[in-house]
Amino acid sequence: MFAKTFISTLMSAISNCSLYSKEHVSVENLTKKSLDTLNGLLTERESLEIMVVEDHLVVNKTPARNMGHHGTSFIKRLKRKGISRIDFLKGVTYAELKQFIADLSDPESELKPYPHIKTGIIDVRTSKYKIKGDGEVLTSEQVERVKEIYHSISPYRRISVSGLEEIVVNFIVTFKREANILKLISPVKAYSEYTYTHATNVAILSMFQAESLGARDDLLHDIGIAALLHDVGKLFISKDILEKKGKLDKKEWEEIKLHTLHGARYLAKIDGLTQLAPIAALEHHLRYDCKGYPSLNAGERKQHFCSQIIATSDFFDALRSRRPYKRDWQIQEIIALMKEGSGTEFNPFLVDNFSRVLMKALQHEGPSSGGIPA
Amino acid sequence: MADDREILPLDARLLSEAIFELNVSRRNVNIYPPGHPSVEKSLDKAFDTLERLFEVRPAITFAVAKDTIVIDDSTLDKKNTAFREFALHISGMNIASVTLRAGLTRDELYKFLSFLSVDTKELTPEALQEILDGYGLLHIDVGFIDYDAFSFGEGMTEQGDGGAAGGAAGPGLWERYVRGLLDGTLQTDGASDVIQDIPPETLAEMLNETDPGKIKEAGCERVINTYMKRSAKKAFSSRELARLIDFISKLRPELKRQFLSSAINNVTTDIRTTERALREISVDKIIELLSAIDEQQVTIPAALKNLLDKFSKFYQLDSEDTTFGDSIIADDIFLSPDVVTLLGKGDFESYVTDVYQKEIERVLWFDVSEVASKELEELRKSCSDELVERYFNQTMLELITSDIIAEDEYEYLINTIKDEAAQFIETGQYGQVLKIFRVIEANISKKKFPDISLEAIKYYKSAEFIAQFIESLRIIGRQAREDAQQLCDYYGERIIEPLIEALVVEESQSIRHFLISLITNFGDKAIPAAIKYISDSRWFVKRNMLHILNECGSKEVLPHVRPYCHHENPKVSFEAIKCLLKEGDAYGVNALRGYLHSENRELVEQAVALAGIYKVKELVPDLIQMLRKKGITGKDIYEKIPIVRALGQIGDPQALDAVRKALSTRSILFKNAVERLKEAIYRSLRYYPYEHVRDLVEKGLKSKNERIRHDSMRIKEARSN
Repeated sequence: MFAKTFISTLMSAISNCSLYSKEHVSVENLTKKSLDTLNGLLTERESLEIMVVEDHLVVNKTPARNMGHHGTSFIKRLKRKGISRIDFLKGVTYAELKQFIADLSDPESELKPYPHIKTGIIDVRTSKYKIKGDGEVLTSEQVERVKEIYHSISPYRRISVSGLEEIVVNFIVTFKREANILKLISPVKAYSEYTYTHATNVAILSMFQAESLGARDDLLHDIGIAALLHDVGKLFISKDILEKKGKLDKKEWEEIKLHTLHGARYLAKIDGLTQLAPIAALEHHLRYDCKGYPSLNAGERKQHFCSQIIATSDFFDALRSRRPYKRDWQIQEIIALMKEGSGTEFNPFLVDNFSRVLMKALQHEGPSSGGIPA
Repeated sequence: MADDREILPLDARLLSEAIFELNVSRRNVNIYPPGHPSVEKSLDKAFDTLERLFEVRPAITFAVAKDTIVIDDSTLDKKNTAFREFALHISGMNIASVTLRAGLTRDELYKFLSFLSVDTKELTPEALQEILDGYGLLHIDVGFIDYDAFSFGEGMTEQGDGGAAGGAAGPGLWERYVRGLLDGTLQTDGASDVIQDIPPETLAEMLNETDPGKIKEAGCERVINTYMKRSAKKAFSSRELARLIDFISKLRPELKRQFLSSAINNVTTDIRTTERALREISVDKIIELLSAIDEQQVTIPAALKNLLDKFSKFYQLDSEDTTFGDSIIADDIFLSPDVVTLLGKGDFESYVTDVYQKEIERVLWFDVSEVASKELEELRKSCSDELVERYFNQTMLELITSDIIAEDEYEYLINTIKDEAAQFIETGQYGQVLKIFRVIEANISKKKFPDISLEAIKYYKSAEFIAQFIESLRIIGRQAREDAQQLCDYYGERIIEPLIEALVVEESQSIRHFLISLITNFGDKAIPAAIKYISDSRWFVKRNMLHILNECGSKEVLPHVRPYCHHENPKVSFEAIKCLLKEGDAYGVNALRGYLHSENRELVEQAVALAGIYKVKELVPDLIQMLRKKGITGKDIYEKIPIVRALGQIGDPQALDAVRKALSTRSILFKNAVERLKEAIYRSLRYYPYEHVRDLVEKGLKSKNERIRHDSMRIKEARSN
């Protein structure tokens, strides 16, 4: 119970630290409150051990149930930092805990060694030997024998097969890692080949933009996923309308516009998916000046920065691609149009950045000259 | 591990049937009393199945890896609801394994099921063990999860150090735990240090090296390596993959396996995460996939290849990315219809010209770091958890206002929004919470899924939610004062009492002021609650309630206030008097008069100050009398200063005679005190009608005292203006 209070307060402190600053009065209050709870917990024991085993918290070797939203957020924060165990030792100071909270709240900051807070990872220790009792543990002769064998064949072990391995390894791993995303995008391909192709291109272009703006790791990945799924709502639009070659009438246009809401609805229900995905699905036609669609009923909002990135890529690919009823536009024509819509349809900064980095990439020696893929 | 019940060995199959029945019995034991036919029937079935099992083997153990039941080398079907439910229940009780042995009685089985009904939420592992011991189960051994088996890699991180296999939260941690448990290879108390120095996987393989054929395999790797050598690239290409598939397809079946095993077990150090992820896929599955690609004579479609190329850069990330809630299962992606669809050739070229594809490839291969700046501040801010959550919440709100949402979806979204609201409350984002309320209220008025909407509003107005809000107000409310006030306004009178209760226990003065400001903002609506709490025995509660009544009240509260004018604690009595003076109540004036004549100097000073602040004309004669009192000591003279100030604030000319008299005070011994008194008199003259003090002002202009001259000058200037 106290552990739950501690984690809740700690998490509130972390959230407030992200939202405001390390020195904010709320962070100071919550840090003090966390420390008080922690000290209460440490009156009768030397340490408070918190482990994340898969998606569960284990506190002092006892599973902590019903930790609610705070528990989930706490696990998420720890995972991002790549840690799965924290030990709070007796003697934690206010300054130490405050620094720890600040480091956990800052995506850029690394966890430091703290005198009374130990962080790290957990693993399950197994051996290929059965260890049932003292009598069955390996003898020292056996251990020596094992080491001997190990060293005798180690030269072979060191042989690098990295080239070939990495081809297959990367393919399999990426495939596996993105399995859930692939499962989500696969129905789009089955339904509309163009929408699928467009989605993959928008994902690549959006990640390219985001990377050029300094996005890395998880964030870049999330933007890629949000971009890949931005048009998933088209699954719910009649195929006749989606692939109509002529001009859409008013009713058809209204239906097309619904794909933003359908997409957000579909994605909002998927557990564990980045929240940017439903946001971008809803907002990618909203425009920079918010005069696009869907019309907002729940109050005014600005288009999220990531949706602005995706909207830029979306526009570019839609024009650069070829359709039965339209030619593929040339890059300069598209950029000129984007500049026309700069400040109204698109974020002017993103338009400038996109055109700048795209030109650099295209001027750069490409894969064909580098012997990479054709 | 096999996933198919059909291929389970007989004993495991019987146990799986027994588990199915045990789960039914467990539910029935929870619902019905002992001896109920429903309990008896399912218990009989489970018991009969176990009896048949014991004919095949004398004991059997099943272990639980979170939502999966493992028996020997097999895993019971994860998708089977009964197995999953049973597994989750068991693991929820902190149980890792259960061994059932021949000789088990029906009564023991019933007791075991009763044990499974124990509410373990608040129990420590020791207490749970004690309860289990109390059941006296002779033929059932229950093994609890031993968290000592989870070793601590201090200072390590998943990203930074590659982590130990399966590391933090990696899928398979539980499965490896139970596998170790079942195999007897779990190390909970440190085996030989020497053994631990050698990586476990390698150690195991070393033992197998007694087979000389294995050495040949290693040699074989060298040949493979020479044949396919290329520099390491982080992404793959379809051309290289095609070459690889071509190569693999030409290998003998056992070499295919050897090669892929080698790829999995022998990856370079910088891709340990890859190694970990790969361990979760069976080699058979990989062979199957590659063979399928080969047999279909397809190359990886360009769109998929582009996409995977881009995403392949993330292979060093935490394995978290592979999990979506409970759907951790990734093996079944390999040859699922989804993958077949993705591997289908498609019409890529119809939409993407060769030129455009080349451009995309250039984008893919371009090293963006050449042009990338430091992370853009706007990007960083907009992608912070808190801001994304805010946008996500707004997205949910848009959805619940739209007409495309079915009832079950509406309910789901409303529940998601509830979680968000709790988070917003804790972080002081009251504006977001208010937005949620307004949207749901609007839906109620539009009769949109009224039951769900009303239920949601009921939750937000519940004591539990309001308590969270109040707690947040205490911690962070002052930083979002305006939004906090608006949210309080939304709640209306129902929030006044909780606010007062928070005020009563609040230790910080600044937070008390803030809470009082929230309460008094309700005006006369706050009166009933303040009157209710005024009878509290604690003086500070009374004082605060009187303050609230003073701020919010009018004449009708006076009868409730009067009794406190003579409270033993002057902080209470003066607060009550203030309240009465504000309404010009004679009772208050008299009470104040009483304090003016008190023996306690502090009380007199406070009374004098109040008489001035509230401009109590009725007390002018009392004050004059005090001013006229002959001053003997310096202290006496100093004590006249607040009286002069109070008389000034009242501004009644009838006091001026006494003031003039005070001005003529002379003292050789207490010159300083007299000068301060004179200064105070001149400072107070501005409150009197000018014509009554003109002569004093004119005189003051010629004074040697600079402050008196200055004050006189200001009075004169003010008059001429």
